[in-house]
Amino acid sequence: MTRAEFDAAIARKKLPLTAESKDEIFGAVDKLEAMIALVTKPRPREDEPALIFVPGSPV
Amino acid sequence: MNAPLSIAAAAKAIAAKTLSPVELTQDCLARVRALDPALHSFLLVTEDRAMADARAAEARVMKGASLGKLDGIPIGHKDIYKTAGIRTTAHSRLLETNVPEADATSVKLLAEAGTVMMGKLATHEFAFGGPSHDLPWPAVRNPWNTEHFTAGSSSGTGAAVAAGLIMGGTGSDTGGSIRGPAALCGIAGIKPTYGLISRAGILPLAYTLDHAGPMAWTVEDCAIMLQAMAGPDAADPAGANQPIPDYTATLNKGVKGLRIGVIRHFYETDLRASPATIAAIDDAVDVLQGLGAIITDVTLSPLMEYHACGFLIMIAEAYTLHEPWLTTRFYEYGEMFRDRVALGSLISAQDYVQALRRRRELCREMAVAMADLDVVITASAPGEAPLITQVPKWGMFEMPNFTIPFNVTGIPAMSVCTGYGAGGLPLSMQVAGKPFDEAMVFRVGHAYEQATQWRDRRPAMTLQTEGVA
Repeated sequence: MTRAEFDAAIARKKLPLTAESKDEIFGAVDKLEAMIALVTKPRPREDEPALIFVPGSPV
Repeated sequence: MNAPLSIAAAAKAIAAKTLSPVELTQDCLARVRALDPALHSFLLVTEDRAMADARAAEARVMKGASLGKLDGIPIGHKDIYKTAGIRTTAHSRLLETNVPEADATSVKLLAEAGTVMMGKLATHEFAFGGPSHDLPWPAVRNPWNTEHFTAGSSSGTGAAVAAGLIMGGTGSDTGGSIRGPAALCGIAGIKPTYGLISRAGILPLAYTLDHAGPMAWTVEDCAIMLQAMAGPDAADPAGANQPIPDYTATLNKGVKGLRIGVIRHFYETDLRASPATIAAIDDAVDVLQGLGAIITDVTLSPLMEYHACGFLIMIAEAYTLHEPWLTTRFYEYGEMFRDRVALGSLISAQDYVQALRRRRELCREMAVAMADLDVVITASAPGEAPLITQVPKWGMFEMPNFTIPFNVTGIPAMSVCTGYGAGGLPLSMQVAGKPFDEAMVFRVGHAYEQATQWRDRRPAMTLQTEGVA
């Protein structure tokens, strides 16, 4: 994520960050992206995050 | 003041009428006054409520109407547990004057078991942002050395139990917030199976990862507390409808013939723990093997993959929860919380769903690995508690933690003290079990505690209060 993309994302979320806060948080974006890369890998289409309904549960 | 007792020992003495709940509570309150100015573990001491609870417990005991092992036992609640008519702040400026109308389910259940409510305990802000030094209350200090960190976020409970200010307390655990402070403060703390304890009335951090649980000096004490806290609750959408066994009934069955897996690569290669931590776990495994357990090594995905999966889900859900205030009251949060959770705004729907898909794979992997085992063992923390001034804001984004795999998979996991390092601070390990098999986790942890001497030691500051009127 470039700094311009970061600034745009923060603006879209309406987070009222000072320039100092933006600098600080942007400094950690690479760490976040490294985590995202770890969970994003090719998987079979059927490999879904199952939602399990337990008989007798209140919902 | 008398030396602090375990809940189990105090319960026996109360039942035998050789210990008065009123005097026990007065001792704990005196220890709070003597030690908490240095620890900051309490945000609010409810002395009048404690004494009223203690007198009521004593009256029940004296007329032969005890409510059980927790009757007359002084405890505290992490300040994200709502308490009717008593301020509940989440250690945050945003809730500085918040007074709930009703108790959290766990608070209610523990009160019905006869516990004495000593007060509300410090936490990392909203169970995530800490250690912070820009909040209305200071960060908690470690009773083994007040220059050191307690870990979080159930930091007040960890410090207060270790120092003997309370005999047990409540915690919450989204990525390790019970087991981290239990580890660094040298106590026992269990994150039960997801859904076993109701989260109703507990301020949330991340819906699909939040667990409630007890923290206490010993494994047995955690079992006694869990007995009161566990059970179905229609008020918790994730509440499990499972039968609750007698958690102390099998405590003394020993470990002979039990199959224990050791996830060594988590702490030997994925994130190398201190030599003392590794040696202490090796010793613990030897102890369990000596008691008859069958030991095997277990290999799972790298620790960082569990961490990334859990952490992305956590901050995405935390951002969703806090977005209304983050967009309007951003700077009323402490810096640690607001900066960390703001990153959650950058996680896309695709990223979140990919993390959920990965979570499903990791759950399956853990279930397969545990199919032929009774419990697994791994580290709780990399080493002794660091200096409180040396906890980086972004550390949890760079280094995995040992506890989050069991939040991702939802299975029960407990931290147990395995000794003390060269700095005099506690070392620890985790024992994790199959879903809803907390009894087995307790059985293994208790066997280890009974075979070692680590429960005989308390922080020096606590020992200095003994004999002081």
